[in-house]
Amino acid sequence: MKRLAFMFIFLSGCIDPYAPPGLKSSEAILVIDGFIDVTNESTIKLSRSQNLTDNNLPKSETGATVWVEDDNGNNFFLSEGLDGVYSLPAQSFSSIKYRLNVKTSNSKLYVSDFEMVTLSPPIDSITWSLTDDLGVQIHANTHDPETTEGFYRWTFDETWLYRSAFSSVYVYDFESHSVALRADDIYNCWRTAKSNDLLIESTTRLSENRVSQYPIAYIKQDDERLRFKYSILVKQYAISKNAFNYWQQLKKTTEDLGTLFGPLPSQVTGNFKSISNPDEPVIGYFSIGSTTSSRIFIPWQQLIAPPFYNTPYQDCESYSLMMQDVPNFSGPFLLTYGIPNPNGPGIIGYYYGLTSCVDCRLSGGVNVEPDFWE
Amino acid sequence: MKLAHSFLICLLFTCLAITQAFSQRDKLISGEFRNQPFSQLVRELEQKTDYRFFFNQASVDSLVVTISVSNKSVSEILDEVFRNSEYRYAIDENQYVYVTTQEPILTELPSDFFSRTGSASDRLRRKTDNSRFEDAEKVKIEKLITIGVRGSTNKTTASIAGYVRNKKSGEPVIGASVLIENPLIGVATDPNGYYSITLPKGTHQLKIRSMGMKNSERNVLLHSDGKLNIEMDEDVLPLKEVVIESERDERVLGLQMGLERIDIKTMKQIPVALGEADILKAVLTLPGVQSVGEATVGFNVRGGATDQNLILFNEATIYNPSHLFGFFSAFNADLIKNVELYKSGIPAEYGGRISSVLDVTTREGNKRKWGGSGGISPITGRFALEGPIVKDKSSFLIGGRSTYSDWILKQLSSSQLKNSEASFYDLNLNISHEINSKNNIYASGYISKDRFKLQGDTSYSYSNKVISAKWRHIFSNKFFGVLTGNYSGYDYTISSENNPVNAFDLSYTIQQLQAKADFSYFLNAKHTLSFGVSTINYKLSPGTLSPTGSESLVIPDVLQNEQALESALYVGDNFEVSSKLSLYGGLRYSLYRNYGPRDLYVYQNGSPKDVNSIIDTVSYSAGEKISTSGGPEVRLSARYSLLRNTSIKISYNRMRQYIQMLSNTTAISPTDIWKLSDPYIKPLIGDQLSVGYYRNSRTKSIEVSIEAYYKIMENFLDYKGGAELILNHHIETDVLNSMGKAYGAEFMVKKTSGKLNGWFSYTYSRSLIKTKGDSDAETINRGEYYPSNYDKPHSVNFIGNYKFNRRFSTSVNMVYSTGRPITLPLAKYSIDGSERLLYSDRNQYRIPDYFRTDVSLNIEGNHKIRKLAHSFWSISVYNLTGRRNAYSVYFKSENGVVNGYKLSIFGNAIPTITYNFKF
Repeated sequence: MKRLAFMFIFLSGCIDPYAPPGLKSSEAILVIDGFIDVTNESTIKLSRSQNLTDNNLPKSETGATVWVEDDNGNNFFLSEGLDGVYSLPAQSFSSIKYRLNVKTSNSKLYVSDFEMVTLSPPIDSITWSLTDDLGVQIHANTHDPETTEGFYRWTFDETWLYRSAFSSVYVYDFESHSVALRADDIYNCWRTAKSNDLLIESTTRLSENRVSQYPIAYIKQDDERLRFKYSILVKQYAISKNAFNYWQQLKKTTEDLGTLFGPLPSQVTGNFKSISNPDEPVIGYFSIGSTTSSRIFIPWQQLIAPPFYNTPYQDCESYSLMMQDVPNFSGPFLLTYGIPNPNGPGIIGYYYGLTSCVDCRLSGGVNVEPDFWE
Repeated sequence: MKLAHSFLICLLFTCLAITQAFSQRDKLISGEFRNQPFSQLVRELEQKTDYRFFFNQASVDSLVVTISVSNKSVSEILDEVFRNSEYRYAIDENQYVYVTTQEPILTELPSDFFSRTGSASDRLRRKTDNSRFEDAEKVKIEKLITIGVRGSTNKTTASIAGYVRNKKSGEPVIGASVLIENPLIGVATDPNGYYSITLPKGTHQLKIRSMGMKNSERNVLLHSDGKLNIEMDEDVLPLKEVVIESERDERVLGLQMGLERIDIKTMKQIPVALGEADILKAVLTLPGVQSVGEATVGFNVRGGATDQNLILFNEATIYNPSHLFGFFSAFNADLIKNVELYKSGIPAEYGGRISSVLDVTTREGNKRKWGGSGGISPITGRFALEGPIVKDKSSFLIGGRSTYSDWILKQLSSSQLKNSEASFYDLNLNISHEINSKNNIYASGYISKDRFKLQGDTSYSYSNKVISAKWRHIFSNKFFGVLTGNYSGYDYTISSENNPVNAFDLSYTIQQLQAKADFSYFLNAKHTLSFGVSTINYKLSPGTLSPTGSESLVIPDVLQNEQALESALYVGDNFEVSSKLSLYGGLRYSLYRNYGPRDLYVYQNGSPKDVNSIIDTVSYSAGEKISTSGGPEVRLSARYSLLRNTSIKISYNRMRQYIQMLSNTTAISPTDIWKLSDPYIKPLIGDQLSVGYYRNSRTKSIEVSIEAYYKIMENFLDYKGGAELILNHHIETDVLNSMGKAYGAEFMVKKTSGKLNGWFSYTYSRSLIKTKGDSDAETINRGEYYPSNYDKPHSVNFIGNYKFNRRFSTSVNMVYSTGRPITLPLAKYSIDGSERLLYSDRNQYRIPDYFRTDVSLNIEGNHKIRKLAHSFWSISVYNLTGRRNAYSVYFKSENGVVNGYKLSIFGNAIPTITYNFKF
């Protein structure tokens, strides 16, 4: 259905950015974001909703007391960290049902419904294939002979190697106005991003609890992520039916809109309630269970290279700095490599480029190879 | 010279007339008239003598007679009456008296008329005589038709009935007015061209008026009940603004209110996108009719939902009236004769939907000669063929339409579009046969099919199928009946084959069988009765999911069939109380029975219906009653004429609806499902009260009308946020019972004739819903009234046609309306690193206002009546200003950030050129 929109482009239809005039701001509502992982350390993040026009990071909710409670009244308290993140080290969760309690610093109590512990089956495989337009489509496959629920959710962390426009061999010392060999590598960087779209699937309409070729992500052929080496870590959650409905609603009302037959947006209610004031809305869905994950790598050798990659370095230019000008070198530039002497050994100067073209770390990545990288 | 001739002729004829008159052996009359209209005198004379009078009522309107006579002959009386006036009279050998102005009529040919001899001056005179005779002939064409047997009844009135037909094609002329002017008595022909009019005995001039037909008159002498079939000549200049000539009095004089009639010629003038004359787009230009956006076929009448319109195609229900996501309507305009939309004062013969009735009637084929028509536009092509099977007895009409959009998509370079498919077709076949003058039979079939697939993913197809048969029998002049049987089917299929493991087909079917009998009885001049009975059997397969291919793991899932019987009995009386007041009272009693086989969930009392509150399942065997409902539906209308050109009307109607469409999308989507009423889904009940004021200008070419209405809708269905409607085994858990109310006023000025014609309308309308359930989950917006999706308070329409000459005409269509309500996000929040949205109460905001201008230029070929084919070019520009009207405004979480967008369906001006032909 989503693709109907394309039909209208053909019929000269169009989609324009739109900012509605002065939407009424509502009070900031508590947002409880988190999942208790029964096999690992877990974190719960508390924040507040914000106005649409507010471009700051959401305000964190600090000073709250957060605890997980089982149906026998056993409590596990989370400890507060930075920025409204509350964490709980790996525990042994032996009960069947748990709920989450949040008491904010102004003594308001928010409690979730009791949720069953749901254990995720292993991911059978993460596969990828070339699409018709030579992009990469990544799929997940799983099955679970044990449970009958058949509701899944995936998230992923993708990491890719990228390189700045120019390798920097030399470093300029602005205090001594001298040049030295660079010790660190600011040419190779790894950047990691989290999934944004909600990835959920139900197998209840199938005769087997089997997910086949669920589309996790699509990457265009000229995407920078595919240029050197791309890796994706897919994390799978088995979720309850109610949780599935919640995520599906959220997906429908925030991702699937804008088509001719698009659904009408509506309020999505999670499983938290305000005990202090039953009319007060609270956002979020508490789930508890285990996750499974699987990582794959896609090196450039297995792909078909496009004529150009879409990188932030497309406009980078290299400039020359002759030896006699070295003491006067200044500006937002970094030296790259030497200009070889055409008549003999040695160099007669340096090439240099804009800092943002040379230092890969300025494009969002880190220049430390991740542990899992291969 | 000319003057001299006239004088001579005048003299000659006067002499002739006098001699003729005196040659009669006259009965002598005595009497006294004081300030009596001339017609009163005539009546008296006709009663006392064998003389019969013929005159143009209009020309003697002002003639008042004051005379006292004793033992005078008719001619002596007339001489006295007309003395010193402009009136002349002549009497022929049959004792027919012709009253004219200025010059009397020649009642017989000059004795030497056929002789070939004579002097030059004689011939000259003959020539002029001849020219006079042509006029005399013209009057004689309107010769007196004697109906019935003189003195056979004692009643003072008698009825005339018969068919009005198109002389050229033999087709019935629908909605033609058959009337006499003094006293004003008129009827309209029914969909078969049949009329029955009860008149005082005596002579009358029957006037027959219809759109697109030449005005026609018949002089009748009515003795007792009889038959009169009338043939009308087509007005061969379709671009000459013939339209609505007959209707222009109807708005003021007719009893019916809230009725809009569109003829095909008006429809073809309205500029449309993509070059197809489109019924539904034309309907949308009428006051009180709205839609949620362009490219949606669903329409909303006076604040009702899209499923509350009874769409009849040759009396069979059409469930999905759209093609190609709503860009085209499912009706082929070439085959359509008449479209009527009842917005209020709905007569008792209609039932089953609470908002409106859209009655679409197709033409009959030409009974005399073969013909065809067609058209080519950038996206579609259409063709129709018609002709006699047995000349003057039976005919057929076959028409088809298809699109080449598939081919266009294939030509596009975008790979996304290349893998898309979109196609449709529809076919019609009509057969009509006249068994004899009392029996006619009609049969028609219709099939439409749509298929689309976008980006090679899921494919959708849907289809309407309709078969109907009708037998019309005339029992007597005053009494006829129509027996109708029809089948309507609608189905859709969604299939996905890309991933073999998940490959499926999902199908949905509605089958409806209907039988009905309708009778009309023209009791007397004051009462026309209509009554009848109908029954509909519904069978729905609300969803069948089946795997496709051997690898598919999809479990077949079949929702239980639903069956129901909807029957109705009705009677209505049209009562002409006086020339000023007429009343209509109708009562329809509908009865609905929902029956097995079916298993029904039982929910715990007092708790909201959801899967957790199911306590039991009850099984009903085949044919066993599950639930019944029904009740009386009252239909009342009244019209009171304030002045000759002004009237007020009031109407009230109650309607019941037992089948509703479930859709939680804004527009009708191909996957919307219809649901029959059952113990949980109560039937919709709609009540509407409306009042109207109508006025025609003196020249009658300007009509002004104001109608206001108030409407209440009970058991309106609303949905829980994010309700799942497809393959839901317990749909009752996802829907909410709501109350709807709508009110508004429609103001319209219409110029019906002249080089410049068209209409301007302003509509104020509100449509509100209230959903207050027992629990929070069953309550929307805290149980307060909120605007429905199609609540557009202000709307302005202007349609103007200007005819430069008989070959060129141009039309402008302008539309303005308030933007429709939407639910907008008030805040955003972050979950799992992505921004998500927090929505406001439902429908608290509106998209930007809508404004559009369309223009079209129509070019006719030459107007020779006889030529191989008549062609007609239409050049139109839709959305001339290129305004990007919002279809929807929405917010989306993309790459973790919320962005707002406005979707417009037509972002530019869209020019289209269409070629039409007819032979």
